[in-house]
Amino acid sequence: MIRVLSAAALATVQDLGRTGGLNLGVGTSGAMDPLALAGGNILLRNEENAAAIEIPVFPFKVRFERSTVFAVTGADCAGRLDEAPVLPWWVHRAEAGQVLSLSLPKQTTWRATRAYLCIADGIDVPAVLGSRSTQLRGSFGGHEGRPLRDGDELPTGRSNDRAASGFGLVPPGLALPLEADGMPAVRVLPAAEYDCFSNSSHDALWSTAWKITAQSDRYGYRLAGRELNPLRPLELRSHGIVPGVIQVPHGGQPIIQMRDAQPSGGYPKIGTVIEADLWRLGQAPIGSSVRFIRCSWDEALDASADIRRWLANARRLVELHCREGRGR
Amino acid sequence: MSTPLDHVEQLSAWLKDADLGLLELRGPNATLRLVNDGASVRVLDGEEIASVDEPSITVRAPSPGIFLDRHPLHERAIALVAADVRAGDPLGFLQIGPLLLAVPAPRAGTLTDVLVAHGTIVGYGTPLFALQPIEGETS
Repeated sequence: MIRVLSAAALATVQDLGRTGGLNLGVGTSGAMDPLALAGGNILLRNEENAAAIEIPVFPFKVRFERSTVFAVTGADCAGRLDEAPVLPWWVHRAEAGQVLSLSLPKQTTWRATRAYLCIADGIDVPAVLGSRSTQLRGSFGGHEGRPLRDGDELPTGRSNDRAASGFGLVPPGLALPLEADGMPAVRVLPAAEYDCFSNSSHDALWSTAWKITAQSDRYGYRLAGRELNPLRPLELRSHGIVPGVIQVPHGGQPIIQMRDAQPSGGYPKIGTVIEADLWRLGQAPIGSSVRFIRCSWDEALDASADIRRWLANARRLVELHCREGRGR
Repeated sequence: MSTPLDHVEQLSAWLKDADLGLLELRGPNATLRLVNDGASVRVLDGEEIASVDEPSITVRAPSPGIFLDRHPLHERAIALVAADVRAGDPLGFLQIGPLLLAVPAPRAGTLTDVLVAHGTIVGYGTPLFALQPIEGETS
């Protein structure tokens, strides 16, 4: 069990998401940076979809009520276990009673904002509709369907004896960089209403920077940049949408739907950030800018394959390392 | 009964072959200390030598990999020359694809030298650090 001593705001229990319910109006939720969560679970030799705590606001502090093994992935939060430094993307052992403190992310070599506290065997909250993710809109899943508060006690699985400590992973943000003209970028597929926008809107979409405004959260990112205008006013009925969809409301400033997006909407869609790049957006700080790179369906599938390859390679090397250590 | 004291010559040869700096054997009635300074191996008699004479330890790569003096997300080396380290503290890292291994300090001491540049590909056993042990503190 771990006890939350200082939760700041909006820390939630997340796994890889609640898939398969969009047709019932149930959004996906899940980690904003699923690659950081998957990396943490690989390090701890957890099951792939074990739940962790997503931490977007700092400082954050927990006490381990019994000894366990943990890893903090995602942003580098200059972690401390009592007084000892905690390396990012690294497996550490904690004894019962030790306190882990995370502070404001350092963005020196990788601009990232969200940290994931992953624990051996995962955060053991009940699965709801097949997932342990917190569904904030519906107030279910995760820990009592809400963000964590000071004093919350979270059950962890019985510390698996599979996890070993003292090694780490190179963050995929460094291994899989993506930039356009020196600016962080994500790949985008043109969406259903793409052709309904003016040429200058298309130019702006692909060749100018988009600032992530302060009105950005797990539900969606509101962007600021050049105005995107349809050729003629567009009125659509609400229809199904998925995380990654870039909607353009009246006013011409786009919104990217994120993990807690509602499953339907009626704004015209100019594009969709590909699934393989959503983790990049999930780590993009408010106030920073991103570029969109046009990609094809095949390129989007290739990008997914790159992610799967990185994960498979990381898993293979961690398993080799841990088995070798056991044989000694 | 044969004792190690009867085999100093053989032990010295092994020490030299293995490029080890110090062999110390302690028993209830005798102590044997062999020091290898690279050129020759000699026996140190009697009482323990002062810490200033204690040979520095060479910390070697526990695996092949790319030597990193800092975590990839950090800007500064994790252990600086002249810094004191505790046994088990990481002195640097070895990167093997996405995997990152620590090069831990074998015992408490003062880091006296970093022998390899950040980003160098190293083999198993490549000397990476020189560490001056702190007397009386072992791992």
